[in-house]
Amino acid sequence: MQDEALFIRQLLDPKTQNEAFRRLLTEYQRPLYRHIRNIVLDHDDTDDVLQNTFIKIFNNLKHFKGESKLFSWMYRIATNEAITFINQRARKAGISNEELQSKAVGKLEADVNYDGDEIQLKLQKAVATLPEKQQLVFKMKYFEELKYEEISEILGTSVGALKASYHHAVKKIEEYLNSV
Amino acid sequence: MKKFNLENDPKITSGFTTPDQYFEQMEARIMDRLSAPETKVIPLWHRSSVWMSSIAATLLLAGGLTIYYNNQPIPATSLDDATVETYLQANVNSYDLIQHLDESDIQALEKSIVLNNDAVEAYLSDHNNLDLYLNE
Repeated sequence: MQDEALFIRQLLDPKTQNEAFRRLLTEYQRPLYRHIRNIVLDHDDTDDVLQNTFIKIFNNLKHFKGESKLFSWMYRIATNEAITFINQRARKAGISNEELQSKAVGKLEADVNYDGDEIQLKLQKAVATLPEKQQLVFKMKYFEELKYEEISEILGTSVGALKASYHHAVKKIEEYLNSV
Repeated sequence: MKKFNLENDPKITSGFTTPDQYFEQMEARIMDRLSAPETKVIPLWHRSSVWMSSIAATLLLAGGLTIYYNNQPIPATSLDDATVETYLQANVNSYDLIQHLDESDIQALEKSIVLNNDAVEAYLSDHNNLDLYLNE
């Protein structure tokens, strides 16, 4: 993306705002969709969360202080929206977040917007057995191929802690995959 | 059977797909939502018949309610705090709440909520995903 400070000025200026926001949408809708989909799993739920994320980004641009990169600020909003969504769903159903995730993985086979084979499905099931934070770190590193430094800026966790978390996640997933 | 090794085996992708044209339509839908004009108030009240019928309805309602309440015990249907709290927890997220708080609300909250180090520590140990919010 072009010079970020200039781009943010364009996003805040009513004359250039619409065009700049359209460019932001074009650039970030796919990675943010992927990020949210990896967390909530269902396409329709992802669609809802993604729309809310972009509306929140637009409404909160004036509060963006530039202390972090626009990229990580938007990812942070998307992550919070997705996790809030899961918390609300789990609370309404009276089950834990992990139970909710396992149920969502169980529905993937019948999902028209999922074409994973046996191994891909097995991997999703293995990931669903992890604690929530490890799931998040694993998905961002393995599926989304984000750098540790980027994940660190998004989640506010040190690179060292992320590496440890990812290492544990990989170990547990491999154990799961090799045992079933 | 071959052992799985995620670091060295070929990448296993997530398997998620999207409907055709999803992203093209999504962009348009969001731009539409952002540019939707605010709902206009329909200029209904300049019509005298509306004024007359409103006054008549108000008088009738006031009279009817007075008679009704004079003859009925007041039912205890008000919402208790726990019901309101449960509803808010389930339906309103932290961003929405933040939008409605101003400086004086924060100061009032600080006075009414007693936080000490032990309470904070106990909360943090029970909530292992808090670091997500530390940069907020």
